[in-house]
Amino acid sequence: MAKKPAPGKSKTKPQAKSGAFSRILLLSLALAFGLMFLPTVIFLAFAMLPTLAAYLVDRNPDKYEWICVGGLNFAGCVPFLIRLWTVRHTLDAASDMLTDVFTLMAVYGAAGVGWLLFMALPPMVGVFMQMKAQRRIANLKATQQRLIQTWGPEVGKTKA
Amino acid sequence: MADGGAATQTNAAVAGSDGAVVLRERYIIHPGRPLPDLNSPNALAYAVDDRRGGRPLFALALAPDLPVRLATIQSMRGQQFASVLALIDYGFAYWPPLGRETVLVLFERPSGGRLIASLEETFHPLSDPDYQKIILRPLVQGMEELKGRGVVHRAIRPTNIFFMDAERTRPVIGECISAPPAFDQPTLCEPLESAMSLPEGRGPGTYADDMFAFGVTLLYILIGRRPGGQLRGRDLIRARIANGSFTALTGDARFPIAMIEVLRGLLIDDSQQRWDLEAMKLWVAGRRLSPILAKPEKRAARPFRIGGLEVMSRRDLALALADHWDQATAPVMDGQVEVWLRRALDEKEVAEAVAEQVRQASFPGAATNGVTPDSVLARVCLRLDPQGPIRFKAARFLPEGLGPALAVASMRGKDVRAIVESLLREMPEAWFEVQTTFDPANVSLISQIKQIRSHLRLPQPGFGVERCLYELNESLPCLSPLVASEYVLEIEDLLPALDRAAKQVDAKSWPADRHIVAFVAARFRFDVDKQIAALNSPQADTSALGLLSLLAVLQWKLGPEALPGLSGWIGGLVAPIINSYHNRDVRKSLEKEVPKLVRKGSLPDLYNALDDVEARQKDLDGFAWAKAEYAGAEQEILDMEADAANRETQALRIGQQSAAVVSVMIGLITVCVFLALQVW
Repeated sequence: MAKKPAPGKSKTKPQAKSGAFSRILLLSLALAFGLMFLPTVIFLAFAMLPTLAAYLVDRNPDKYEWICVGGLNFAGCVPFLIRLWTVRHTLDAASDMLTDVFTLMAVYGAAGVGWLLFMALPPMVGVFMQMKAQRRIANLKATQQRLIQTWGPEVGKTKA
Repeated sequence: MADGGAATQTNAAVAGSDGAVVLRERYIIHPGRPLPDLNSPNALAYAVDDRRGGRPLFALALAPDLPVRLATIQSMRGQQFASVLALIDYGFAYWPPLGRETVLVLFERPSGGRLIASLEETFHPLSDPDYQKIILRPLVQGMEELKGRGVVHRAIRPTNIFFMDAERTRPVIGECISAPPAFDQPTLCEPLESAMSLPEGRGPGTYADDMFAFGVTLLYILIGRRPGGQLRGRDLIRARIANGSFTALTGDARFPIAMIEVLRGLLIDDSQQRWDLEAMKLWVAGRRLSPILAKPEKRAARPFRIGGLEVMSRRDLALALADHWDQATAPVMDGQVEVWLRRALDEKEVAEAVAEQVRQASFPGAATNGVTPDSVLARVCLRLDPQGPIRFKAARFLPEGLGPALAVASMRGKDVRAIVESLLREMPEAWFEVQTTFDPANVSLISQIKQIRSHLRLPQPGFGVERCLYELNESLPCLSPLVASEYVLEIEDLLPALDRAAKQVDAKSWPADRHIVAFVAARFRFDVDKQIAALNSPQADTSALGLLSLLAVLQWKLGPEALPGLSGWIGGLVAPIINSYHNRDVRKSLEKEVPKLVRKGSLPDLYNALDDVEARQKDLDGFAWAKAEYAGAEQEILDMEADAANRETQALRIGQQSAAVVSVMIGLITVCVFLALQVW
């Protein structure tokens, strides 16, 4: 009598096969898409370099830095992408844009703004939170003072 | 016990225009017209005018430093006497010669004056018929009148016999209320046990004591000179112990044989054998009684020497030991007294009792149990002379004389320590233990003494010697210096006296000293133990509240309705009570309210305002809540200060998150805007 194949093994092999297949499929689609939109891909590859750099240098586990830089970096790319798509979607046009100082300043400037935003906002939040805490402490001390005025300094003593 | 009784102090006199004092709107007493011939040893006599005419009167202004015999005054007041000086009335008044309030007692004025002014005076004896008619029968009638009204006189002596008529044919027995019982009596007029006591410690005594004094008085009038010959003081007492009072006092005097029987009956030292009034009346009526033979004191084969004296009997030894207290401990403790009693006097039972006392003193820890050489000596004296007074250091008193002894010592600024110590060492009980006869009247006295001792052991105001004073002397006025110028005998008169005193005292002083608190505790019939306990609290607020509560209860129960002076005085002392409230608003409110209540003069209202239970509970609850709120705020502040580092981390994370969100939103908006521009 022939042995039955282990149930775990019978399932693992088709899953691994389907995963590899999916990857290959996705890679193929991406390659196809990249070839189809090669000017866009090339433009974004260069224009989004600050975001890549932010991702690489970001040691924060939450990885907020690259999102912050990336968001504004992409916002800086959007006008040029639309122009690329609407005027002529060619490698030359993409190359022209990438070599244009104004384009690079706009794209990288937006990324810089994102970086500045990332650096500036936490201290501002910190100051805000500190102010809020100070105000709460002041309120509590005022309450204590009011209690002392009504009940005398013995209200603050541990033993009555 | 002490002479006492409830009396109302309503019959106070008012001052007349010429400095005279008017009593009951009828009797005008003139301080400027003294009558020195009628003075008592401790009370000065003054002329009196009766607005309604009638009998001539005189007044005695009683010494304010002696307890009065108020119950006796009340029982004699207004009574008709034929052979006793009639006490017409009495009252309390400010008496200018004393510069303070005192008791004024009115008597019918004896026109014939005093029989003799001094015991040293001599006169020619009356003939026997005159003696019987003029002296004996009227004075026996006087004794009968006194007994009929329940008065134990205790001041019958030759110098206290007066004649109501100018012809000196109507003798009367003089007053007895100007001093404690037997206080003014010369020792020769007192039975031995009383004679050996201090004058203030003789106690109220009995009719038997009066009969002895009567006997001495009769003897003096009979022989026309001082009985006892040249002997005085201790010598006379020792002679009376050795030979019996009758023999010692009559001496070599010559008098009618018929009088021997009556004098022997009256002057016998054994009070049980002494003639009573019935026997006296029978004798006066002509019936002759069987002669009494005095049992002589047992004499020792050889004398006991102490302090240069040679004593021959137990009673004499007790007297000598007490008189030489400092030298007496050694012969008692080293057994000399015991040996003398055993061998020279053949008193084995007494010797054994003395030896037992000495043995007890030698036990380990005897001193801590109150057995000291002094207490042993005092108990030995009692064993030697059971009828004698309690002898303890300088104190000599009979148990019933404890109250007056303490009162006189306190009022005259004498040292009361010996009396107090004897009480603490249970000497009164020791006295009762050695008595051979049982008197049921002593049961209540023993019980009272035990109660007194419990007061004496507590040092706080409301207890101690002062409490004992007022418990033992019902007619003792309050001795507080605050009311010193007034004669506060009744509890009802205390608050008005304090109200008047408020105008003169330092407002910061306390209106209840030890005497006042003890006086209230002893005289007030309601339970004030809680108030006194609060008064004695070491906490200023509780103590002040206790004081206010005590006086407020007095005013509530006894009046008067308004005491503005005292209220003002107390009002200045209530700051600790106000400060006992935690809430400052409540304090301010009370500080505003107190002056209004002070003006009203009502201590109960003041007390109710300052110790409102509901308000106090509200204050306590509010304070507890406030403390909790304060502590909560404190904790939150501490938490927030400690959380600063964490807050920075949190701020960094939130800031980064916010930056990322803002960035993405800008990106999305930009895409949307440019796409929209392209479409339109």
